[in-house]
Amino acid sequence: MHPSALHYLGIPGQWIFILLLVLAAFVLLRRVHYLIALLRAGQVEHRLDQLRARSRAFIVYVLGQRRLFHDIPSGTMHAVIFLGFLVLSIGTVEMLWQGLTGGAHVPLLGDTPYLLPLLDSFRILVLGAVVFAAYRRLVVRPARLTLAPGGLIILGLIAGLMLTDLLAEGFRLAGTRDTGWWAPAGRMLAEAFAGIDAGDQQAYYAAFWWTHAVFFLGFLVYLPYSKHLHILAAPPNVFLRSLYPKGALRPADLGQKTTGVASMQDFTWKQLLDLYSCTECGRCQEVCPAHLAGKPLSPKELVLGLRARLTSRAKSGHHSAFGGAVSKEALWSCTTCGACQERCPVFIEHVAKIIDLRRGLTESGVLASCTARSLEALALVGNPQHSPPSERKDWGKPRGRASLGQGQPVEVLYWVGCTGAYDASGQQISTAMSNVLQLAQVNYAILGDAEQCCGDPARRIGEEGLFQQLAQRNIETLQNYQPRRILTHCPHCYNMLKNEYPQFGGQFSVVHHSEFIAELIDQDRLRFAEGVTRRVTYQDPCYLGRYNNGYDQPRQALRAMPTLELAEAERVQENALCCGGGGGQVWLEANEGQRINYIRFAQLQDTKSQIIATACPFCKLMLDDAANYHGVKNRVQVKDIAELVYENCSLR
Amino acid sequence: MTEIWVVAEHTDGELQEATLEMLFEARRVSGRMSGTVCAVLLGHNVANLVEPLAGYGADRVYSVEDPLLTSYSTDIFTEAVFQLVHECSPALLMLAATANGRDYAPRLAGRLRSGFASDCVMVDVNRQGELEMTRATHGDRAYTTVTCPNSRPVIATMRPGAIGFDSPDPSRVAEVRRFQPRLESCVLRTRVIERIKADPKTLDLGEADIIVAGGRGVGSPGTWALLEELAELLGAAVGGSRMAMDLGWIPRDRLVGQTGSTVSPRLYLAAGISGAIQHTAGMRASKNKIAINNEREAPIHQLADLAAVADLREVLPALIEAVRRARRGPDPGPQVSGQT
Amino acid sequence: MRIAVCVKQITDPALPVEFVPAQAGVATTETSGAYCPNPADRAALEEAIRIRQVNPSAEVTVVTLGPAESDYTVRYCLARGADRAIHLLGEAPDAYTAAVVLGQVIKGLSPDLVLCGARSLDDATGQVPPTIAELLEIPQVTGVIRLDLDIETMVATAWRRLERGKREVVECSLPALIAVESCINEPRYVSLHAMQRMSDRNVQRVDLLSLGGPGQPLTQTVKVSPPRPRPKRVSTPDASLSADERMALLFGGGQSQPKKSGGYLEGPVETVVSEIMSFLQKEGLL
Repeated sequence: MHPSALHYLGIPGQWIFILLLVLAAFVLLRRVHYLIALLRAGQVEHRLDQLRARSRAFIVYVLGQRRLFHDIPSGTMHAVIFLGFLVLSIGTVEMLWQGLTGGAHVPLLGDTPYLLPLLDSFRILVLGAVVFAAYRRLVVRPARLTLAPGGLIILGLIAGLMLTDLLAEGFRLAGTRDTGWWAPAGRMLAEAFAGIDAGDQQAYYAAFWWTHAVFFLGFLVYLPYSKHLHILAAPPNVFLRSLYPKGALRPADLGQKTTGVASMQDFTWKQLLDLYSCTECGRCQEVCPAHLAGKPLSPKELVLGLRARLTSRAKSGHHSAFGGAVSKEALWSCTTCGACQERCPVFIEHVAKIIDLRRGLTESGVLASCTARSLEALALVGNPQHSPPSERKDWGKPRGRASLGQGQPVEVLYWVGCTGAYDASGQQISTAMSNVLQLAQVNYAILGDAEQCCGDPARRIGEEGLFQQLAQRNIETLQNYQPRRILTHCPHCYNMLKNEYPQFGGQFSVVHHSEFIAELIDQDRLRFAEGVTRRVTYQDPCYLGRYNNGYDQPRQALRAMPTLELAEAERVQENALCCGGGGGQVWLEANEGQRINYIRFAQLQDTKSQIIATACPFCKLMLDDAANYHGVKNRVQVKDIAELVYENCSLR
Repeated sequence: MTEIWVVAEHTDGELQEATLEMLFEARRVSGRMSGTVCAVLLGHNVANLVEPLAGYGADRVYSVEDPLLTSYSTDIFTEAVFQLVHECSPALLMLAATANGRDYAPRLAGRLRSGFASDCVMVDVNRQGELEMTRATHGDRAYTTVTCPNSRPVIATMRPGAIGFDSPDPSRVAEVRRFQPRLESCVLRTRVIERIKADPKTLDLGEADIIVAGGRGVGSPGTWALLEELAELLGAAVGGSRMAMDLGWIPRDRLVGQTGSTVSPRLYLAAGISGAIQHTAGMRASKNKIAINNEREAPIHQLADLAAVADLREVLPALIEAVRRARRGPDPGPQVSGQT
Repeated sequence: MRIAVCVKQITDPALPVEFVPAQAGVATTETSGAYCPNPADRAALEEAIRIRQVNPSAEVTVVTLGPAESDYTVRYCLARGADRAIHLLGEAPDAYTAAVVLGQVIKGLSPDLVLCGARSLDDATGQVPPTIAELLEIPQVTGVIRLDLDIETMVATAWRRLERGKREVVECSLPALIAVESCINEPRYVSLHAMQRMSDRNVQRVDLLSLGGPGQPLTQTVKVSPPRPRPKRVSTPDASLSADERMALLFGGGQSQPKKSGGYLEGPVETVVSEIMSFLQKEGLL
């Protein structure tokens, strides 16, 4: 007899089951309603475009669990539990139906001979996975996982569910003699329990069935109060992922009272859904350069901190976003390298939230004074170095350069950028690049005084008003000149011109100098000399690599030079460690913890290279600084690709 | 007779160098307009200063003695000079552009409704016989020449250190005229409740006259201690580059450079500093720059007035010894103060 | 409590100056849009806002004298937190007439405290604050690098910066005028968005002509030219003076040298040290 068909103290089991179900549903739905209400209090955002791309993402990343397999043991374990969850849902439906109807099978599904073996196998697999998970959490203790009760409760519940299911199954089969011989566990247990008295078998069957039901309902109820909310939130979150260019931040509406976020309701509903989707896996924290350097930032703690701020019962109903892990120090530590977002299995967008919070801080004037002075300089003279605009074309020795507006159309417009124009280290790059263009007989021009800062420092620090002003000015200037292609050696300018200026109507064809050099090499417009071989290693800039997939062309350029022997560092490409210079860090105050650039420099030095090749003026600045600090400038040179190309070019 | 006045600056019974400079300039101007150079000596029991005032160029000294003039206050000094000006009507009144001079000279000019020129580096007489003052403006990137037609007197504050002065003529004698200001009804509305001496150790880098700064090339805490010893001997403030801060030798408020302080002392001694733009941006405006760095190619040498390519560890101890010896030598005379 | 703050707009001092010879004026090469509030005035406003933070009943009014472009500074001051701004449209021919006009307007505000920057970075006369104080017949404290206010007793305690690191602490009853140095505080950042959102509601624009125009200037600019420091006098001490006196004179006004002889100072330690010592002595640094 099915346990729900029995009577307990005179009450039919069905009624008890319905009561429990209703109770559980009530608590669950109340909580879910609350969580959804919090989402609806967030700002509007439209995420239902490009449905095919979204569906594809869903299949690959949710069903395919792709990002989890970066860590193979963990990925396998989770895939088993995930798949098991899906398959065992059939069993759950069966259980619910039987509970409600006193033991009837679900039509079509419930009584097939394939069901039991399928469920059985997965129960064992899931149990095995759970044991492995517990082992990882309690014994191996990887740094990215926080050992908290929540995780262990869930594992306990899942294990409990599997065990009670198996045991109930065993006692049922023992009683019915319905061995279904290819249900391995069920059959084994049935034989083990065969010796037990039939009445006791029934009693144990009922006991374990009810326990299973209670565990299940308990699990349901616990779900929205724990990180297992991700079961409900993560799949839609992946579906609704950002299909915006990776390097682009959303423009703020300058008509609003403030450009930034101060309370949780200032975030969009999608940003809040992100918080529900976090599984506390810590993969983001593991790759974060700031966290590695011991700074107050952990992307995981930030997301969880925001979640806590959201769901905490604030008296006034107005939940401030700040508090605990969501601190100024944490926010200002971020280099916007994007490694966290690249790793997150549920596609949480950490960087946008950090920038939104920075926008709020900057708007209320909460800035270190050196940062304030740099932004003021940017507003006054169009560059954060506070150098006169009239000196913007004074870098290097002018060789055949012409400013635009002198008539003939050119192959490329060379966008020099502020570091290329005003910073001694950056000027070495622009000088080298202009020499390379000269040697390759590229007809190019520069904007000269008309060029202003692309606005990246302002945007990354959160001064959106200033950024939009700079962007609009530059777009107007560029649209007046209508360049065929814009060439830049700075990945920050590159990302800005290519991915973010379109937000304001600036559509331009932009090429990074590593791409352009690769093109010139392909076109045989550059040739390289032989000579003494030196070992070189390459630092992937975050804004070129992770943000724009520009991994291959710089390597192509380096490999084209016979005197260079390329030795890759251990962490490369999308796994490369940021140099620490992005996210406006060059203008922010150095805070506690080590220096990210020193850490990265040490990693690059492990390749025993004599040259560190960079493709970004900030990487060059940061790594050169590290070389200087360690007193090894005579042994290791930090050079931009343009400098190396010029040095090695046989056309000189 | 046209009178050209110099209000004497003095501290602790000694004339400030600024006074000597102003007297020098006054003599020059008086030569161009046939005037009498008069020193205005405000104070209490400062009769001993008449002789050096005369020696450095005063034909006449207006001795304005009053206990209320013992130490500076806006109300008293403005009123006292105002009364004297009213009585004697000079053509030109020169004051030192010190903190106090800058405080009451404009107020005095306002009270007299007379023309005013501040921070002057030169006073001259043009072809029309008018006084022409040349002032440093726009962050010392321009000299603005002004006149104050129809104005008597013309009040000018002179920038200390811009002019220089001649050796005194001890045979010169000045006529002394006493002037008793009527200060009973002058209400003293500000009160000095504390005077704080300078301490080079805590002195703000922006105010330091001399800065001794170290960078990575100092190499070790032991050599850094030598640097600090030299600073102490020279009465200098200690500063450093970003490297020095990273290595823990200086706190953040001693950092010179783009992310630290911008300084323009009379002397900047850069020891073991390479001279990257992040640092030099903060000290390039220093009046005198000495660099000690044993790397010839170090960019700091391009900036320095004295570029010493030498080993710090050898130079510092020797330099310390030399400065000690110089200090033990003849002390400066009793009536001239090196302070400006 | 009523606080009046004088704020002047100047061209960005970091830009190179360009001399326009025919006129007695200095024009910077890139004046378009590169305006900013004078740093010391900005510090004065910051000080006023901080006083108000501690004393919420205080009211801060900013007075600016300048052409239409000075509107930028007006917006900045309001965005930073000033309650009201009075923009006197026009220009004064010299510092005295500027002080007269400003003083006139400020007097009408009956302020308890007048805060000014000690000097502007362009003309740098430093004349306006003491002149305003004289015209308003209120006491003044200038060169202030720290200010404390006791609202109960209406007494200001100001730290004055004197030469070579010396300080003087001065007490003064209000109403008074305090002229501050730009290092007195670090002004908080004001975002462009905040400035753009400022409405005109609290701005009063007054044409100088309607006030009777600026008066006749007492000082006239004859010319503006690049600086040429004068060589300082050579002091060759008279041989008849005693050694003490000769040393004293040598350590006094020094000889101006052409700087940067071009060479490197190298060689044995003794040579290096003795060269450095001569340099120090010649420049009067010992």
